[in-house]
Amino acid sequence: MFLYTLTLNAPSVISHAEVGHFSGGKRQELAIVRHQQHLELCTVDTNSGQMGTEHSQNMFCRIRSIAAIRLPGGSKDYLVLGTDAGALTIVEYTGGKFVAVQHHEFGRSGLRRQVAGQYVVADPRGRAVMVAAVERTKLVYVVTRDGEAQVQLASPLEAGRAQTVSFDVAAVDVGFENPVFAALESAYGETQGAKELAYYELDLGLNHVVRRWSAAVDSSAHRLIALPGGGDGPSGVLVCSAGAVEYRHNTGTARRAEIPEQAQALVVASAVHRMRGAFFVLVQTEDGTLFKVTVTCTAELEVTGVDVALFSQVQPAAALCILRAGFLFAAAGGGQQLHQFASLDGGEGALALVDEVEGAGPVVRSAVHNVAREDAPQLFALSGRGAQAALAVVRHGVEVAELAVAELPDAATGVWTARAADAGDAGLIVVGLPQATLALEVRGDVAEVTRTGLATDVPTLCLRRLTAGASDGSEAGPLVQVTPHAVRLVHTPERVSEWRPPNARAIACAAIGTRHVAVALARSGGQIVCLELHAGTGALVELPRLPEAGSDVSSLAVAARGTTGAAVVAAGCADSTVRLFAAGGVRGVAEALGVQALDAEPHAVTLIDAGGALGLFVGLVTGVLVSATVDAVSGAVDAVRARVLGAAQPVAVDAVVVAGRPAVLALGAAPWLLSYTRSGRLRAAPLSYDALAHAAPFTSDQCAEGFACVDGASLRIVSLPRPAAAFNCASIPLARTPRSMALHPESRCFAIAERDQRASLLRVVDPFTGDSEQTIELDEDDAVLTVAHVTFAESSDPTELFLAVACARGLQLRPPACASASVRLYRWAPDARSLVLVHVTPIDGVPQCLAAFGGMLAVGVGRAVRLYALGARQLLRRVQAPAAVPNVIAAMCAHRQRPDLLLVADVQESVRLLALTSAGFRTLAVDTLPRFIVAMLPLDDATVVTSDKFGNVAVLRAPAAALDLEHPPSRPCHWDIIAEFHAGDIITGMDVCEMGVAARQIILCSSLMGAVLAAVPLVSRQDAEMLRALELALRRLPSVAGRDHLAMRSSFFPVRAAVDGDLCELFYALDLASQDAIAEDIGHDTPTILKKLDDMRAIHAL
Amino acid sequence: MDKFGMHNQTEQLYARYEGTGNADTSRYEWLTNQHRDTLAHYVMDDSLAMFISIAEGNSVTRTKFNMLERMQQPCGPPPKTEDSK
Repeated sequence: MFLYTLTLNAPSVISHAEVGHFSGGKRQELAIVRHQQHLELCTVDTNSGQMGTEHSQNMFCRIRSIAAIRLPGGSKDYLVLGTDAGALTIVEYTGGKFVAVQHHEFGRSGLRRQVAGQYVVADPRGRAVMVAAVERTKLVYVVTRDGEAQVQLASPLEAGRAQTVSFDVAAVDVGFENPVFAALESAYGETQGAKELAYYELDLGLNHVVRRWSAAVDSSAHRLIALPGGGDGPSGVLVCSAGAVEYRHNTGTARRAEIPEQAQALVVASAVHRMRGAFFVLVQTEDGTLFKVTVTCTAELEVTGVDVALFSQVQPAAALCILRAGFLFAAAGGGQQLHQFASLDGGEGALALVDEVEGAGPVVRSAVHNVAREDAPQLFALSGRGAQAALAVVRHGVEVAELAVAELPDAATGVWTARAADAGDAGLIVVGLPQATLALEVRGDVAEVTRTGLATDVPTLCLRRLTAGASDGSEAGPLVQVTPHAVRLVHTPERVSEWRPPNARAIACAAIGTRHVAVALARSGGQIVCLELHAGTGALVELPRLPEAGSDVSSLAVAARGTTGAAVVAAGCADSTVRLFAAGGVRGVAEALGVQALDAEPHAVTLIDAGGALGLFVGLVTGVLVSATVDAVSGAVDAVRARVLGAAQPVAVDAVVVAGRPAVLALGAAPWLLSYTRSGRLRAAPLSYDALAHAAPFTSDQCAEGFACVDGASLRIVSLPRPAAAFNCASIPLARTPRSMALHPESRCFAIAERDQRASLLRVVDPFTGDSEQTIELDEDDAVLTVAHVTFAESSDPTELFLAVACARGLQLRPPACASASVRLYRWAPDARSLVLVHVTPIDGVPQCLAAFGGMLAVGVGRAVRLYALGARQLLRRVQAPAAVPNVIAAMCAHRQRPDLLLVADVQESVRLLALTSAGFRTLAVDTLPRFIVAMLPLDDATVVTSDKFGNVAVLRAPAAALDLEHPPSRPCHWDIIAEFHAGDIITGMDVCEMGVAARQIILCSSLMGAVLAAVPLVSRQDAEMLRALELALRRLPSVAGRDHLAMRSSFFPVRAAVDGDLCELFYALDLASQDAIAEDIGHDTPTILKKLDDMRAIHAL
Repeated sequence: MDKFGMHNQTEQLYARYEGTGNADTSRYEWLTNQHRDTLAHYVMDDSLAMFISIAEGNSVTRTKFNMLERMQQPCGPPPKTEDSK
């Protein structure tokens, strides 16, 4: 087996965030690091307070810290990255991506305690950078510019002290004196002493670093906050310790203030905001309370006191950023929130939430179910902690916000929108009905308008407002309405001109471009007439007749050919072809450009601008969408891709605008959004919305960018709040940290076990309504560990589902122990919406995990596996394997195909395959490598996928000899390692599923930090070899952070039979010459590689 | 004997790379270094720190802080006697 892994959704948990002017403009932006892996540029609309993702980049390394730096005299912020590459990297956001401008190696790669990278801080005046390790190493780099204004790094200066642990590092603002860095460190070994705050001064003249000053601080000090200096403030640092904030500086001044009512709380996040002549500091403690720290100083900037006052309450954040426009950005849990400051004094209403991006994270457990019976299954993730706990429903699809719904008198045949002729008017929505046309206007609500000049007693085939004047002008021209017998040109409601086809022929279909109208005559064998708006007279002029298509035309599309002003017409013909023509222009051409054969009859066709070329989209009657690029001049059709959208339902394709760029909605059994990225790559994502018949772009005052769409007799106006995110997340709030869940297949309710310190509960949740059907509070000090569904062979109904709940009193984690433990057995009530306690069975030892196994309940207690049968008063112990694993059982899983096989995972010694025989359990397979198993998933009767605590995924297969129970080998066999790779994040849930109707199976993985990954098993060896060769070639290209990709994917075990799809997809972003060079290198051509990469997503509906 | 200054270089290497073992490394030294490496890894790997903090019911900040604190003396104070290997 060969795995091709793709990150479908970047991790949602944010590790770091920095605010700055990274694009170099006036706009403040946020640089966000998502779980040490993805670097993202986030924009904030200062008017609406909407957050948007401008760019996201997988860095293929661990980003442990970031700092924004602006060089003296510059107007652009750079980002300094502390990674696991053993190097310091300075990146710049330019050309729509992050590129390295400086890269200096100083040590070995990997997460090592004495290799710097854990802390990175930059001098506020942009003259130097300090990069420090957890222990000892501190390096100071002088940052300068060379003659070409390029950023330069000087050789590093060492400042570290041996046997010293660093807790935090900050850059002290000293104005333009020698840069000073403050470090919170404590020495161990012979010189063991108190925790110290030390100042390291970089002497720019002598080019060396000295430890200038140090002072003992509280032993619980854990965070440094540098204060503004150099005339703007008193300089120095705030030292945060448990329950207190202390001002320290090398002048010897020390002012301490207690955090009110939180004597032991640590500071988890902080933000400093400078205003003209003033500044303020916000610190957040573990429970999410925000405190405002005020530092009072004299006119000579001598600190006289520190005051900590309650400010507000937000979710506990990993990073806080204050934007100049008066927003507070908080990266909380798996989401990100933007608050607006209402006042700077704190108290009720000091902060107002203006935007929130929901995300799942941290995900403790997840499962894939198709509860809603949609095309693609949903991922149910137990996410968040404490008060932020939630059952997150993660769907593959772009989030859709419904703005308005209106009922229509009849089923609609189409919908079109037209911009207002002048700014005072509202836009027009025109709905085609079977025998009439309805013109609607949106002013607050949707209302019919009469005086539009449109023919309303006949059906409409097509409608659009032309562009008057020059071809690039945006001046609104006349409105064109195509009815079955005429093309009507509406200049004003009173002034309408008509063009009628010759010999009173009927019009079969029509398309309208910015200046052209193409109509196909019915039953004419493919006669297409092209009309052009005459710039002078404002009338429609018939262009020279196009060659006949040779077959009846069922759909048309028209686009302008850029430079010459000619029109490119695409005609979907009944003989299963799309024919391309060019018409008009300065040379007055009328020629056939080309023909593209299709597998089935086309239903709809559209052309959009694809950045240079034209994007051709054809919806077939069989439910397939075909996309291609068309050269506007030569008509050459390239990059033809097919994608099955669902059951055999004709696919309508409608051009829309998404994020200011042309896009296509493919509306078949499910709606899909297709758009071109900046690098010209076609991206496809389903919409998380009902099936639609037609859509048109719509803009109004309330809705900057949306669609008007129809389905049956209903008209809806929708918008896409986050068009870039292919996954959306809806959360059902829970009360405590969720630990385990089980889905009842009939009522489709989840039983969820939640536990926080000293309080546990069981909850039955309906995922459709989000309501808790039942909550069972367990006794105080009774900790719920896990739940599992089980059926019992002895039960009166052997298929009845029972819910087994493992509980422990007086639970202690290290080492696992408890005062007493039990398995509570619940039966579902007849409607399967509540639980009824059957009995409680005492267990000696901590019941770590439960699994249904062969009509019995398997309980993992310490090292032992026990099988329990159903009894009248309690469970009856039947079989025991006292030492099934060497340490503690971490997970158990019964085999689906082989009911006598049980997979048992140890907390550190990988998975064992056990078989239940008449003589008890027998170990069939053991592993040779240590794996700290978190989750596992059996694939077939001999194969299992495992994930471990260090972020590795491995596919293990038992040799045939191990499974031969007739002739068992004398000792357990060893698993064969089939595939293995380092994911960089703990995979907490894995499931096999299909993401679409006709899609192939994939392994869908969700990670602790909220990422969604797909592991695609490659079927053919040629594919595997081609993708592996591509990966190998792309590995040789320099990466931004300089981390060797092979080493990264082999962090713990050598990568085996796994291709990193994220790396392969970097091929799209390369320039043509590099693409061709790589293609030649690996013995393929560029189109083949691009098609393979596209197909890897298309055939798995990703 | 020490013709090329090998001894000096080795000394320098030991000073530079804390935790490098040799024939005279005691069981206590070896163990504390193992623990320090492990604890530092927990601090540096966000997903592990998050995993541990969820299990312990602490905030990630506190988990990381506790790990750094434990790096001081992960295996308790050093043994008093010389021959405690």
